[in-house]
Amino acid sequence: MRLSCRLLFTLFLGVCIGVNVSAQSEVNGTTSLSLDAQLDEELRALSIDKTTLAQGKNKYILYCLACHAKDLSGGNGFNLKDGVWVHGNRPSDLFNSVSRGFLAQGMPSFKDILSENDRKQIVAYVMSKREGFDNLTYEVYALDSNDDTSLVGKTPIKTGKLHDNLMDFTIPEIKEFGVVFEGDFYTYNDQPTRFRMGGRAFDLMTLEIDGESVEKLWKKGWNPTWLLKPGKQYIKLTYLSSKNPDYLDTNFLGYVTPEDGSIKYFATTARAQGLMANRTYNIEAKAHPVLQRKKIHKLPAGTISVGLPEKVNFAFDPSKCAINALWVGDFLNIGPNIDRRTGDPSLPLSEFIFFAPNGISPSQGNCEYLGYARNQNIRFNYLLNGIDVSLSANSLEKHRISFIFEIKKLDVDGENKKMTFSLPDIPSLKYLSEDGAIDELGWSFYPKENTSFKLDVLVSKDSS
Amino acid sequence: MKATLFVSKSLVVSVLFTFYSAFADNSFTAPKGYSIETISLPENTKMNIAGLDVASNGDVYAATRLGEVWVLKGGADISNTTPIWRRFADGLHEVTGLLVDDDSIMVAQKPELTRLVDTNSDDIAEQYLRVVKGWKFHNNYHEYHYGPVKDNEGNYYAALNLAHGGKTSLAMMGSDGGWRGWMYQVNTKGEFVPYASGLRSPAGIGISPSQELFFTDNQGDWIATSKLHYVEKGKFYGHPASLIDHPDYSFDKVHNMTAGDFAALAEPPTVWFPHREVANSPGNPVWDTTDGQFGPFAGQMFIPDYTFSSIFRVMLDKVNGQYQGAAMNFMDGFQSGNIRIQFDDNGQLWVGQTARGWPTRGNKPFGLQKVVWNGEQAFELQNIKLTRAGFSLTFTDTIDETSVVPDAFSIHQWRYRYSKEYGSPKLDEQIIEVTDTVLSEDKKTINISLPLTPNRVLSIAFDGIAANSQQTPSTTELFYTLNQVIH
Repeated sequence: MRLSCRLLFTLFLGVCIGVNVSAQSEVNGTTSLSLDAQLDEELRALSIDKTTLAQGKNKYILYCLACHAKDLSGGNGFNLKDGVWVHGNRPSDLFNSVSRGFLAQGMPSFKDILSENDRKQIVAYVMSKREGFDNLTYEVYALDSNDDTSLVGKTPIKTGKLHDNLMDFTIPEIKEFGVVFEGDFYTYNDQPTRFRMGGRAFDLMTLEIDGESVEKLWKKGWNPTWLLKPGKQYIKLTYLSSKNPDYLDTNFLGYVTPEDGSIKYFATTARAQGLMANRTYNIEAKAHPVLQRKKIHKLPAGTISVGLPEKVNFAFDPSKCAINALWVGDFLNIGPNIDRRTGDPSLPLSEFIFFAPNGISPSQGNCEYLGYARNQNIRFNYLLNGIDVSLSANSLEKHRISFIFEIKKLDVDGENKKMTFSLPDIPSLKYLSEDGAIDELGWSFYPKENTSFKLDVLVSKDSS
Repeated sequence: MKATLFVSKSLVVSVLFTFYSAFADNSFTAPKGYSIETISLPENTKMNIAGLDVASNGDVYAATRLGEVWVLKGGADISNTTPIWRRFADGLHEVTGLLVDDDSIMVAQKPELTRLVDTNSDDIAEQYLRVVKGWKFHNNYHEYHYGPVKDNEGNYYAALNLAHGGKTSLAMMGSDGGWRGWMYQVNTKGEFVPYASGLRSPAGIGISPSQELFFTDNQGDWIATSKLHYVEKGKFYGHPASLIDHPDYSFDKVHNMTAGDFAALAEPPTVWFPHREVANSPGNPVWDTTDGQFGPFAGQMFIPDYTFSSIFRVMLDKVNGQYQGAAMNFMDGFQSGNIRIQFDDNGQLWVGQTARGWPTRGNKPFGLQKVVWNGEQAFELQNIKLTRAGFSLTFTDTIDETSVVPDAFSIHQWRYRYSKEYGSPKLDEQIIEVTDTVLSEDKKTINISLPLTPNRVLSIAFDGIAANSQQTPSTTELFYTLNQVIH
């Protein structure tokens, strides 16, 4: 029953036909406020437990991904990581929603599909992916003049709750204002993140985390930025428009970024959310391979990426003549890299199986990149130790990519120098070649022995 | 009488952020007889054009910031009323320069100068060939790549924008090495030759019919206002960050130098483009080589401006063997940010446009337009030359002699500060009085006399001048860069 439902659920994007939907909810009539409070506490504890999260992620992929997307950003189902919670934002609300389902909207009751423990793991995982503010409120103050730099003794002229949980700097509507936004805030548990605001780093924008004032990471210049705590915290941002030059646009952008600031994870202000929504420009290989030379997150400058119609993708670094990334699934969102001034990198649409400095790389000698040819296929041409080489790729079956090295011309002295390529040591990859030897040093062959050498890379299905 | 007037109170920040106010006036300028035609674009793509050239067969090539190259087949052929677009190349990394080079297309994309070859004549490039190695790109968004242009000997020239920030940033723009902030040459052996340094954001390169190389640069740190330079090999054009790659300098040496040290090395701009008055973000210079098909400005330089969505003219003047000269608005009212222009063989001026990342007066996100001339003679300033006593201003038609009086002119002058600050206010601003005016026998040239001070920019307005026909010029103010007086 569970298997068939899972299949149906996946196939029909959330409409699980034939499930015995119990009218009597597990929680209906039997839970009390205190039980919900207990459940909230339990789920909060689980949401920072690594084992639970790993299990929850696996179950999420099986049962939830089809409707809510791999990154929880939503599809047929709601976005599960933003600040909008239609069915309640407490952990117990989430658990009850999963258990009860919303059959009219196509979501089955998972009470009959998954054990209570499985559902808790999924909820814990979803909670761990929560992004941004919750219960966000604002207070607007009128300042006496452009020299007024204090809110002490003032009463807010406007207060309220922001239901989309995004700071909205258009709310003040007066020239000289102070504004305070505060609420619970969620960021990632598994890596350091930063809270970055657009605009000048004026002293009069300050941040408190869990009641304590936090120093900006740099005091001068643009984009005031603070280091966040991992996971859940309470944030209070105060901004006073005093001493603003007239040109300053106070409808600020706000984002959470990784520690290196290289990409924007999610928006914290309404204006930034609007801009983020227009940053999708997905490139897809249909009948033929596609190629994009763009700035790509985590890959070196100048890298060229290729997407095959079979949804196997790789990248080529011309400076090293190396295959410096591999990923399986959808190809590339170049939206962030073609938006406004293009500071942000393109984003691969699934996780890298390996990426630079890992790579299928020539182990020795000089490489000189010459260019590429595009016909039905894509062929990179370069000189490797004086030997004229071309590299192409194809995928004749899912999760398998073949790299073909053709020797177009041997070097001047015609020596049969062994060519060796490093192979990333990744458990989910298996390498096969009938045209060369594979050992702990990598893949090697003698270029004089043939004109074409093929390396097959098999990707474990679990890794995608 | 000299009086200090118009003292600019603009702080650097206001120079940066208040240029919208330059757009408060919604009227547009065009000399009589000139009009703008808008070209239909391919659908469903982002045509932010930043590279443009016209092939001798009339095909118009446009390269985009998205990374595509499109060709409008026979677009410049006036008899072809339904030219079609073909996508010639895609997947490139933000192309900001394009050259039709005989049977292939060269593009300046961020990481590479690339030759695109259509080997089977299907209007789609099959070969994407790297032209030269030797410089570096570090994924910084501001590391744009401009050009190339080609001289008669077969050398190519292109320019490498500085990075925003970067390790050697002495203010805003910097370099992480790899010849950023340089113009480079690809010689006829295919070798990379660093050619000239001191470039900041050199968004336009051009080579004149007499094979002289020029580039435009954008206002910013170390650049008082946008400008044009005549380029000579080995010279330094003002932004110090590029010097870290110079064999005589180093990172430490550059960081221990003063603004005075850099100023002593730097070449003076050939022509300054006063910010918010004639240009904020100039593109590529082209020369009117149409033998009169484009009107009375044959041989002169035209440059597009991104922010103003305009095209302006530059009138070069060789004084004591050195170029200087004047800039004045030609036409505005274009639909988007003008970044590239090119003449075709039929006397049409094509305009490649984008508006992304920085504001523009034209409100369309991108586009392609062309300027055409219908043969009507406009009354306009045709040229200006420095004389020993002042200036000689030549108009395109006979002038009403009653209008030629000193009061017909209002002139003021100023200088700029060279510093790491972003832009410069006008310094030592003064009104200059015209002491005498003389009309030539053919009644087309006015010689004006005034006191001349080298190292000044002069705004020369001639609102009082009218033609015999009583026509008045569409633009009545020019900006002359007086580096030198006649020795």
